Amino acid sequence: MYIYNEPDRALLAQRTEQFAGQVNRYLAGELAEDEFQQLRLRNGLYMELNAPMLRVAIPYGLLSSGQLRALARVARTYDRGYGHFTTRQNIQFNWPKLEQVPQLLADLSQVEMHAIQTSGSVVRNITSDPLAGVAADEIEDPRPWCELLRQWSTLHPEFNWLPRKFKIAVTGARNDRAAVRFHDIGLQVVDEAGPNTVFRVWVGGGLGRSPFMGQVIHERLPGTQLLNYVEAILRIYNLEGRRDNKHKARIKILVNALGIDVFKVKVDSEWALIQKVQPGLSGEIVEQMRAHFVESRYDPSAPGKSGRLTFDCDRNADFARWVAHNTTLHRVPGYRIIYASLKAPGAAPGDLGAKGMEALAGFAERYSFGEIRVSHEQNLLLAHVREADLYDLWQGLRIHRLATPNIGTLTDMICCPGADYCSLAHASSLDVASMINQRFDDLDHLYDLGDISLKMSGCINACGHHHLGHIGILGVKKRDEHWYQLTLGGAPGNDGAIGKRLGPAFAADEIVEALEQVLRAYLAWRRPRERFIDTWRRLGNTPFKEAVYGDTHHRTDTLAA
Amino acid sequence: MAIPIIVQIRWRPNADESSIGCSRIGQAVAPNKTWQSHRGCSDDGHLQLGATDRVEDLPSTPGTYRVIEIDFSVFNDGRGYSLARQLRTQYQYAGELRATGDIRIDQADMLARCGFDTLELPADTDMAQLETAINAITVHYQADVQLGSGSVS
Ligand code: SF4
Repeated sequence: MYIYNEPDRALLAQRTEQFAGQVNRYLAGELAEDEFQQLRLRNGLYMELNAPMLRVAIPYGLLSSGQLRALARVARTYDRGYGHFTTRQNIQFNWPKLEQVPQLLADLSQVEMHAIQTSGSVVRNITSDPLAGVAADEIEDPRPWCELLRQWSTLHPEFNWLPRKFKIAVTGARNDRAAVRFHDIGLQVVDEAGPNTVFRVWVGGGLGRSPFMGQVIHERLPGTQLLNYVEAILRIYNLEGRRDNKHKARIKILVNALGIDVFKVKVDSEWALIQKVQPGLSGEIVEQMRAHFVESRYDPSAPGKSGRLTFDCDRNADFARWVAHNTTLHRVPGYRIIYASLKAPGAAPGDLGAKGMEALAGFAERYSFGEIRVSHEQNLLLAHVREADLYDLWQGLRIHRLATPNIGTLTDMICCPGADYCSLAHASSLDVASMINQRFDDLDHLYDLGDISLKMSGCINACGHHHLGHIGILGVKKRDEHWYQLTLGGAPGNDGAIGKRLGPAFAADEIVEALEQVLRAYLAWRRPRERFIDTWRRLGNTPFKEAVYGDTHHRTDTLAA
Repeated sequence: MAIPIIVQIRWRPNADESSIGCSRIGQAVAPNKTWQSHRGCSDDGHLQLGATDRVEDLPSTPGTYRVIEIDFSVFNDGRGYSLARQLRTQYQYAGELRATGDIRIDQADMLARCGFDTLELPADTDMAQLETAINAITVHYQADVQLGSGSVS
């Protein structure tokens, strides 16, 4: 894990103080509303329905146990005792008071945490593979590159007033678990034998109102040129991106308006000029950064003790089920990666209380080198658990309702905060989540449905990434009522695709039934061992449409959005 | 409307490396001008650019101008920052680079770091607040455009 040095700490202390000064000037009436809005957004502070909402950065989803404990203290002291983990690997607090935010941030700065650039038209938190450094399919650990990008983009003087927000994701694995095709810039380490890192660079991906899959702008970018190349892209975007219409201001619109070829020519010529004055990253800097992420604490005798896992599985079926669904193999023999599910029935997906945070921090210290990860799917991971320790850990997790064995199933759904918290929402998403949980409460049925990703957004901004769900649910507003649209066939990874809208929207009391019809159609049509997404790819929307709308089609058609 | 003041930003190379000072050095020629059409060059070597202008389209090489003014029509339009950096780093422009229009004191630091050395600010600007704002953050992850040298340090 990256450990702050003296300049890192000094910068954070100064930034924390600077923001406190801005809040105080605003409260004293010395800072205009429009200006304070822009300044607070650049530090993660929104004014939401009920109260301010503060989004705290978790760079590439990596937390120390000390940091998680600090988040628990923040939840208790300044909030109502819980936080919400987001699809961008950050955490949000929904109830802080504006006057207290400077002190909250001062507390967090003690554990090297902050809210810098978690909102606003700036480069946002760099996201990555939650299995970075431990995945069996990894070519190279992406985190040193994430940290280099984090530092470079933090308070960058040229890019503090971009046309719109800018999201960068990095993966170092063969299977993309960071959705690099759906970010403003996506970076994927290219598989090759040499000692030097080479990236495939994607640009112009994104969701929201007009979803686009990114396009490859560079097939083989040398790692040493990463920052220069990203700078070239950002400069072209800063200069040429649209600023007249906020809905057309993301880089995806620019890339598609110019065409990738023209856009690439512009970027390449800017890159050439940049290289004349900035040669690029030195190998030494990259090596120093890599050293922060080398994990060497593994117990060499772990594999020898793994027999206990088989023994425990044999004597306890519940445990065996949890092992099968909530753990996955580690690169190092004798170890597992475990998922703490934040999707217990009745819980708001991604929410975790202070007690749960503290418990998990304790488990991380006892079993997993004091490290916790946040996944894009809004779960928490302990990435280095000895197989022999799994049973004890499971028992601990169960007490805190963190052991629901539903990872990868329908109820492991992604869900944005929706109308209960978000002022932009068109519909509630948490209500639908809880109805789905009630309807699909039988584990055997869930396991029979198999691998399904359900993603839900409360409005077209798509914070819940509904376009990328095998099944997506989008909240829309009609006559001031909450309605829901279904999309099918989305996927975020190597097989990335944007889901297709199934048909007219459903009322709040129809949507869960419609979902059930979709799943029934799948069960009826699937071939042996065929996943939902594969059945959909084979058959398309048609059979699902028939199952859901049947001959009532004409009725709902008139309500089409 | 009161005539804006011109504030000069001075790097203090001998003190803390990135600490910067600022002082009022005069007044603007006209009250709050915001140009709709740009690229006008007056007799005294002032070139006026707006956010939609591009450095590569300039009528002559930047070095021929004594002062290049970049106008911000709204404070959250960041194009001028990129123009400034291009002028300083790629065109080695070493003359005066002035930010005009809608700029706020909390932006002074980043404007300076992109290469602006004078700012046109409202007449009632509180110089003490400006000095605080401009020195709020002295530790940086990125190289700054150092005035005069025209290169990234
Ligand atoms: S998708 Fe819409 S409702 Fe949900 S958090 Fe984002 S902006 Fe809010």
